[in-house]
Amino acid sequence: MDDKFALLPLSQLAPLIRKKDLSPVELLEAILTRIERFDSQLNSYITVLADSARAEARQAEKEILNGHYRGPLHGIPVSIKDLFATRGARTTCGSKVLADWVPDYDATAVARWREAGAVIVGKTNMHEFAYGVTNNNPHYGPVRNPWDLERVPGGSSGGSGAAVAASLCTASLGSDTGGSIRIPSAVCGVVGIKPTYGRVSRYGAIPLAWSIDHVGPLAKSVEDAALLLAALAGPDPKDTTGSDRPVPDYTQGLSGEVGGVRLGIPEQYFFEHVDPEILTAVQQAIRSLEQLGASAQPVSLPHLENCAAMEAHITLAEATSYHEPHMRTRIDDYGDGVRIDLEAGRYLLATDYVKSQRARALLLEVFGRAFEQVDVIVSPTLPAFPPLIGELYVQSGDLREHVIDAFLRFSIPYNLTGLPAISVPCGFSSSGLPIGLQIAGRAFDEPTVLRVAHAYEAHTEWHLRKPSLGN
Amino acid sequence: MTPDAALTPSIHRHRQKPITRRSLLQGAGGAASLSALLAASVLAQGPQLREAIRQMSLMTESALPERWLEPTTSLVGVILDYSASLRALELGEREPATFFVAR
Repeated sequence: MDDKFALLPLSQLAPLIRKKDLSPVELLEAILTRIERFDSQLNSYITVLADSARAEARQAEKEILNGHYRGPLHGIPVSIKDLFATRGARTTCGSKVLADWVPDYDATAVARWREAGAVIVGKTNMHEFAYGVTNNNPHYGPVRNPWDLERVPGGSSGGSGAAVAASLCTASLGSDTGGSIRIPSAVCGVVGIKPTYGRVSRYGAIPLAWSIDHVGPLAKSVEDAALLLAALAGPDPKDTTGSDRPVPDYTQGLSGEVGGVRLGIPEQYFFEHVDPEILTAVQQAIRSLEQLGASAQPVSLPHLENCAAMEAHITLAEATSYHEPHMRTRIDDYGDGVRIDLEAGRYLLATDYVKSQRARALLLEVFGRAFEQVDVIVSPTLPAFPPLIGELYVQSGDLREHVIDAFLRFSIPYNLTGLPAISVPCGFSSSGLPIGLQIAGRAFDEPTVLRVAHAYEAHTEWHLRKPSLGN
Repeated sequence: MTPDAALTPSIHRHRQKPITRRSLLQGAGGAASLSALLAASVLAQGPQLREAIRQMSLMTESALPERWLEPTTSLVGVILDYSASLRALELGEREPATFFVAR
């Protein structure tokens, strides 16, 4: 089997599979071979489901040969962040607490990808209970960045980001409470979209913080992300926060055109304390979009300075509430960092939690005013490059700050507001590390977010670069 | 009061402060190095906060061993400290974002 197929995006694999020019079984074997060759370096998987994946690939092949082609995900090898319940396959959430948990049900997002015909290759490594951004997992070992094995891949969906970047799967399912899809996407040089809150069911995703948890795909291209999101989106009676809004065709607007689109460039917050190389790449990306026919204008976004405090109160209170039963019986099985967070969650003020939830309404008004003037808001995904594994501080331009402060800073506003946001590759540092461009839109306006991201991608080649892993 | 007018000067102090609760997590190296990261105002109130948390843990029967008391206190202290601007925010009639659905 030619390894080149394993490197292709979903959007190129799907027509080959549909036309029976490529066997899902052979594609899976190419992916499994790469996992065997390279994952000892990356540690991106906690569990590889080779046997069940082979059975699923054979089933997909049989269906397709019999004329029952389900759609673009049919026969595509995907990975699942180990935070999502998978029927019959252990689901650890990167923890010792759940090390032996084998669910008897699928998370809705997993079930939808299965229904679409995807082949589940395995469960990806992650930050313990999704409670961090480095993926320095004390129980399953650190995930390594495919672009620099000494550096972190971002998180908490770091195994997913690394696996997609290294072509150890074609796409991956992630979750995003403070940036956990977009952060590893930016760090690993792939595409990741956090859809609008309520667009994708959270049922079966082990929560970090219910009110700001989101589910979405990490992918090799914007078109892939659109196809993967289409299979996930839609109401679910098992998730009371789900939206009944009709799901549009996310690929329809992917024309490469952005004429008339109004880009909002934040006057505050999003361009402060940013690495100069990241700043340059993002500014160049904005110029590229302008050359394609979009117009850029400044937008005012006050009050975002409160996002860090809001995130802290909401995440700590909700996470501790969820974990209390395990804390009573398994407290010593938590890693030190997560344990401190969980303990602290017991002693914060209820009034601060409610204030944080009330302030989300204020943020929505702020973004609502901005979106009266523009169609999308553009910024860096991250202000800094990933640290070496074990290091805690990064340099964000003129500011030396903790990696979690840095990595959450530009992503968390969209968790607090629930607005859709995508990260798309927009350059590389002089040392070869990827840079992410964040594009955010109005609630449920994923089509515009995807359209702008796709147009940018279609006129650049950043997303085509592959990390060198000795292949 | 308009939302913009609700900003207090204290926010800008916090904007420039690189330390938040996150600084304390993931192998920061224990209580000694944690203390080095803390704002002076938090350190000054550390003993009282530590005692308050100890009492709360006893009252709520959520046993907090001595080893974890110091880093937990430090983290709570930092969060309380940098939440001052959030508390000062005037939100008028805005209600919390909740998703409860009566059936």
